[in-house]
Amino acid sequence: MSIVIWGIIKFIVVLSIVSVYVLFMTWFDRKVIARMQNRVGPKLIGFHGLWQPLADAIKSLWKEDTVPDKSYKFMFWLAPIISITTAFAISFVIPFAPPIKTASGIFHFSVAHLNVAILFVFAFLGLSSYGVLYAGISSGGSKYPFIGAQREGAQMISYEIILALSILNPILMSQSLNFETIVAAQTHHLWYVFYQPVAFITYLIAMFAVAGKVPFDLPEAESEICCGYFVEYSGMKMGLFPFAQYIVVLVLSAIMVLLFLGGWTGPFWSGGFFAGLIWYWIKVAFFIFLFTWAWATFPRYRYDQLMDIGWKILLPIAVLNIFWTGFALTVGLPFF
Amino acid sequence: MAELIFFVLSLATIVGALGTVISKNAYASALWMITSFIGVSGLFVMLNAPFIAMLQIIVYAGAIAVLILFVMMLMDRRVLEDKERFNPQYLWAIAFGLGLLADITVLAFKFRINLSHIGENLTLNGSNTKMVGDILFKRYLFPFELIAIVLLVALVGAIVLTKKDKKEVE
Repeated sequence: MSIVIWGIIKFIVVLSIVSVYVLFMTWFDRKVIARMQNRVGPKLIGFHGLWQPLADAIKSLWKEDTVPDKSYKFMFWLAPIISITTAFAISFVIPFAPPIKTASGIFHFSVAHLNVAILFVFAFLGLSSYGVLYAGISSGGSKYPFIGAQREGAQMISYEIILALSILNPILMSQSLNFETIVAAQTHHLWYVFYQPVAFITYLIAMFAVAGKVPFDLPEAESEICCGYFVEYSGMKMGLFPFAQYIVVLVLSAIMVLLFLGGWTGPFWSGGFFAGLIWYWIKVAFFIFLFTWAWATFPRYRYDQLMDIGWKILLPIAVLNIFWTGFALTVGLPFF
Repeated sequence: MAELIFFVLSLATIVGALGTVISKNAYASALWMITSFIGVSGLFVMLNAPFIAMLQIIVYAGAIAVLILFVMMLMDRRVLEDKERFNPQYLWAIAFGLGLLADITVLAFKFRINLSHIGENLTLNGSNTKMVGDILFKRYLFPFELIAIVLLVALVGAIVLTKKDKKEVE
């Protein structure tokens, strides 16, 4: 019974932490991009505009909720819910801190400690594209959402393959699908980024495409198709789509750190719980910052360029890299 | 507790399957199909087979349903809505389905399936992933490779059938 109670407590805590993170990520994004463009950004409400996201949230809660006449009403209502539910579901298998040993066993800082955690992440990343697809479909034949949804569908299918193929290398090396086992395997060797630099780079590129962030934000390309799949949405319903996207950004950054950069181990001063916690979140925060940095830096790729990069360049490289990893592991090369 | 979860999952599976066939809107039909897939994967979890459950979601709910939806999005919306839902042979399909249901019901009553041994054969030292790998790549390696080649041939065949030569178009 205590498992159920602990599960509920962890569920509520992670739900709150992730929600607060998303709230202040909007502030962080606006502030960082403003500094990069020589502006000040939000500054009026609170210390350096820190309460701006709260004001935004209150404002969007009181906005009029418009529903297009020709839309499929139920699916239109369901689409943002699918988006947000699947995004939260992914965040529930990510460990938020290194595990600690207690008298009654090992305490894990993730809501669900699964042996197939990586597969779970992929399953629900795949499902999260339905939110976007149904937002486009149910908008009543409106053209921009429809084109945006089609782009999201094609982009998700192509780049999830590359993401999976690059993740396969650390899995092969550690022979586990569990995040904590993979991190433990990296403490015996170097971090996997030194063994798998190619997989690291392919994951890094595919990460941006799967999250739908600049330079691969084709589903919501503002300058081409208005705002893509959520043109017809308003108020908090519309807010749920970027909300889900920010959670996916957090999750993908965390997986990057866990699989390639040794999770909660550091080059020096490692071992204790707090050292691990600090190292882990420094690394995750860097990758979250990388998303914002890319947003302010890169132009958007064209659609055919996106498909060419995915299928003609990244996919052959990723497949060859898996062959190389398998060969190296079977032969038992000295540095593997 | 376990029974309650089982009933919720089987309800999702059955209602999803029914909705796929019955619903008027083709897009809603796809959504029902995804519900059904997720229900099935939940049943796999209850059988102590998490690896197969996750593959069920990744392959069926994640990839195949997206492709089906994608094809529907490339068609004209009005064409989709005007399509007849059933062809004249639907009575045969109903008869076949009812026969299968009766068959399974009789089997279930005859063999008195013991629920306490659920999922014992699906795990090896507690790991479902290892079990699937061992069986696929040691015992059934040749049929596995054969199926892979058959699927590849089907893939190439589909491309050959659909892609017209440029000379023919001219």
